Amino acid sequence: MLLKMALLSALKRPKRAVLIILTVALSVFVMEFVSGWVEGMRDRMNKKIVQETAHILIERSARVDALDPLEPKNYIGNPAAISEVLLKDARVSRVEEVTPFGALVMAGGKNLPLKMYGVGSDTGFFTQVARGSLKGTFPFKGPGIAISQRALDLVGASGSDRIVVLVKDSGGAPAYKELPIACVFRTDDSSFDDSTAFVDNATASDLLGTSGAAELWVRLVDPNQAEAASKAMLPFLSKEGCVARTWSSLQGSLLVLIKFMDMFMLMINIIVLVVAATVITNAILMNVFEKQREYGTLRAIGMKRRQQAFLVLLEGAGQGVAGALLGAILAFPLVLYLAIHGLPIGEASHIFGGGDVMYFGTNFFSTLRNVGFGALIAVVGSLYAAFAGTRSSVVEALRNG
Amino acid sequence: MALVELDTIVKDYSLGRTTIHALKGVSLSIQPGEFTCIVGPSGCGKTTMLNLIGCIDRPTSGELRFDDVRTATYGDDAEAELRLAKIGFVFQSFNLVPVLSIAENIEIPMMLAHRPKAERRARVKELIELVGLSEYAAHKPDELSGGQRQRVAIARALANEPRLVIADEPTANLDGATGQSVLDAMKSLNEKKGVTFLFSTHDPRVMRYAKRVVRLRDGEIEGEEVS
Repeated sequence: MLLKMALLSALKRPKRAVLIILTVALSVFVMEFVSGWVEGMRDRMNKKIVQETAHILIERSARVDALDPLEPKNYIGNPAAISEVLLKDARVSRVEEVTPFGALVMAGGKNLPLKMYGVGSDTGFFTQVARGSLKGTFPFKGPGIAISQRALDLVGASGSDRIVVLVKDSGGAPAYKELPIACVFRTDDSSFDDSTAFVDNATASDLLGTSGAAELWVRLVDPNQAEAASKAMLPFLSKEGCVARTWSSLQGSLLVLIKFMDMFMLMINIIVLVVAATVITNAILMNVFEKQREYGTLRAIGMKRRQQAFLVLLEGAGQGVAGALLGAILAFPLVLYLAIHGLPIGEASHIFGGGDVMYFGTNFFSTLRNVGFGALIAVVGSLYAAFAGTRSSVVEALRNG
Repeated sequence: MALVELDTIVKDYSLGRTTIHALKGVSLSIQPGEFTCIVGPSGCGKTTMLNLIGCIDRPTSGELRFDDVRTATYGDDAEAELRLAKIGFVFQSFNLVPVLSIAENIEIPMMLAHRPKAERRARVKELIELVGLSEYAAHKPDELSGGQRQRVAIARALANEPRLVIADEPTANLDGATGQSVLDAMKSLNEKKGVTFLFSTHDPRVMRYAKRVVRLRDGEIEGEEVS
């Protein structure tokens, strides 16, 4: 009955109830927008981490500080055997042989320097690219190159042309290979497209004059297990002359940015809390003062101060929950639209770890947290009103009502 | 043993630099089952006296005993519990909760006393019948006449079977006939159920209903009559 009393009392003053509900709704809307943005950035960054380093990167110890990473002694000679051992750990979901190298791709009279990756036929590389399109097959079997449409445009080639890949091999001599275009891709990140291409591992070894793989990229079921998993691998890897580095040590700057974004989110929430709580405090305070006689009557018939305070808080919380749900419902289509189509914010998108446009992310728990926070705003806003409303004695309340 | 005992009660109010002496050393004893009326002109201290007896205000000095216990020893919560269990209030302007139905208004004190729901519902039915408003149970207070609202207030005051019902000018906002019907209801409850009633008025017609009339003037008891 207290709940009914609280809710109906709120509805008795519809304009004020609407003000409170809209204030909370607007706050939750803003929080949903910002958290959708942050979730999108976090999601993009997590994908980027895997794209650029995997969860655990394994390479020969000598290669870490080597002047020439292409030296044959810096290659893992028996990648398949090491992978087999690593895959026995239940935390490991896949191990991929990767050989990164620099190359000049040429078609017709034009050339373009690219960062190339030699990947296995079971590569998961492209699936990690956030959004994109693909023509042809990737991963591919046999000699071929996977190149972006943008890179093809830059060298003035079409998908049916052949591409010449020129490298400096492990002996320091130039080596080249003419490859058919097996796949043309387009991602949401033009700088990635302008600088990256893929060949199969055999072609990479052939071009570079190396055997084995430069790196093993370990992907885990749970990225948070990277430290523990890498520690467990170390004794075995050191025997093989290899070291393991986790994504958190390789992508420290990205992690700092993620922490910064979380702080940013917290700051937004605090600002929203202060502004909204001030509006709500005033609105509920007016309710409380207008209802002094009602509260005085209830106290006279036996209601305790804390029950009266609870009634005020209940009124605030009821409106808070309604406002928070409304805000979440209003924000959902917008965040969903921006998750699908993205928000074009130009170069700023790259600064925040995004592609050419900033794609938002949706997260049920984050929405739940925002709705809870919205209701909390109303409760916090009602706290002072509840305190002020119960300060007067029964007689004062009855007299002033 | 007296239900309420007032011993040399003084109540002063400060209004800026002025002090209003609302009660100047009043002593009074109220026995269980009484139907007592406090009369006197406006500003004589009737409401102040009822507020003190109802434990919604505290005296400046003097001793007030309810059921032989000094109320000065009570804290805020204990006072609320005393009011909930032993005192019912009927206000001049009814003071019903506008958003609740008549039945819910009557149910509030029982809910505050944590009485079981089934028991509450049965008691509400009984009280609504007692004040003759059975067909209005689901109505809101603003759908009732003044007299009907005051009957609801009486039913609410009786909800927890209090030892004392305090009514501050219960007929002041009612026309003659309606006021009379409310007083009839109170008198009937006093006679049939033995509920102690203490009410205030400055209307000579109302005084006729009381078994005992206490006359108050300028914060002092001027005299009393028992019929």
